[in-house]
Amino acid sequence: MTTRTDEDLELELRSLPGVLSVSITYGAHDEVEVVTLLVIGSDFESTRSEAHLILSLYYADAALVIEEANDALIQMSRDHSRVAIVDAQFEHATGAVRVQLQYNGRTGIGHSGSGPLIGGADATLAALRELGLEVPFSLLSVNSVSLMNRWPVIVTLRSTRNESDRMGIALAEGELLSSVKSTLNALNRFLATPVRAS
Amino acid sequence: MLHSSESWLFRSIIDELSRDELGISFIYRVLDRLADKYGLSDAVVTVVQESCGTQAFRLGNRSIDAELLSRIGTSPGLYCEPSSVHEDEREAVRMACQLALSTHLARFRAERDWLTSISNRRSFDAALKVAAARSARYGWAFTLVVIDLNEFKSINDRAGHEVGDDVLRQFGLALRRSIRSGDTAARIGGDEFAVILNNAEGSEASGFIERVRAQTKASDEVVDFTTGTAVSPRDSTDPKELLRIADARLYEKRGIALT
Repeated sequence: MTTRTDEDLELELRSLPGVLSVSITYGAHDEVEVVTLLVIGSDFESTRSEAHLILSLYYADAALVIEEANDALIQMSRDHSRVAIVDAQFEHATGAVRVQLQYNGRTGIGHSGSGPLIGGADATLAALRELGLEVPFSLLSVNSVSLMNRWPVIVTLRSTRNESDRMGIALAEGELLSSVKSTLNALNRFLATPVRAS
Repeated sequence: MLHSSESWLFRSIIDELSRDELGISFIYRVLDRLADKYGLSDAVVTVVQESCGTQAFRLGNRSIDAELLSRIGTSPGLYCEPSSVHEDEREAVRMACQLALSTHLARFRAERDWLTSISNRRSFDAALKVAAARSARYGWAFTLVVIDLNEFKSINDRAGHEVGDDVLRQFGLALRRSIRSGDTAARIGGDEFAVILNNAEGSEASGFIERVRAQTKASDEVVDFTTGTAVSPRDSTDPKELLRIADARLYEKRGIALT
């Protein structure tokens, strides 16, 4: 049971440097039993002593548990939750494209028969869905444009929910890879939210 | 445009704002509601707030460990298991939770004294009004203690304002350590403090004052203080009158001490 006092306790603890999360566990008689903090950063000791002081002002008998997550772990999590291109193949004879992506240690493969530009974007969306990611977008256009003697690829995706468009641009080695990267670029902010489809 | 899937969220925000209760509890209630609506087994909303930085809240106020953090990262958004919540609704939930956290922080700051973190004059006046009204209606007793630090000006003059501020901070801490759950401690002026001791009819006040004295003796800069008390409903049930009586008793003690 969270009371206004407990809310304020949680807020005070969350205001301490490095505190990312606060959890309050109640005992059999609704008394605050354990308060668990997840702390990131490097000055754990200072945060620990401040947290002890604040908790003692609210509940002298409650226990404090501090879980430490260092910056390296956060960085690892960021790297881990990024979609990586493992492989992109185009077969000239058939026009078939195969794109292999990786996310959170899982692999997703997408196929298309529409050539390196449109097929690259199509296969990327298919691979993302195979990874279990929710991608509520359809491919609207793929264009290769001339820019200072180079040919970046612009991919436009349309939301299947509200018809808003997302655009991505990328210049990589070859049209296929540019198309794949441009598709991921268009979804970049969306994919930064670590949500997996069921 | 507000989608029908998010209108419940909008209604909840308006409802809580109108009751001045939009805060951290709202965030957990929103996660509960989402869990019911979509059959979620787990959900974490991560928001970034200017003062608190990145903050993560988990369904059921469960703790977040390093392993879970390594899976969900620290980007703002809503992680849920399974992920059957639409993107628009996820974004609406994140924004609503960020608003709740910011509103809670703003309310907290408006009620607290910036230096000592105890209640400020405004919230003390409100608390005294409530206590007096309860005392008048139900006969519930409480003791009002007003406290003045002795020779505080000389500390400021002798050691500087930084030390003076620290003395006030330490005294505020001593009060917080000495009150019981449900009591209110406030800084009501420069070096003036006041405490509402609920369910106390006078004798408890001396115990409280002794606790504060013991706490202040442990400070680097030992500071003495004078107190005055008024008991409701015995002395009065009018907040202003109670303050006047407590002040008069404090000045009386000071007069005795000076002669």
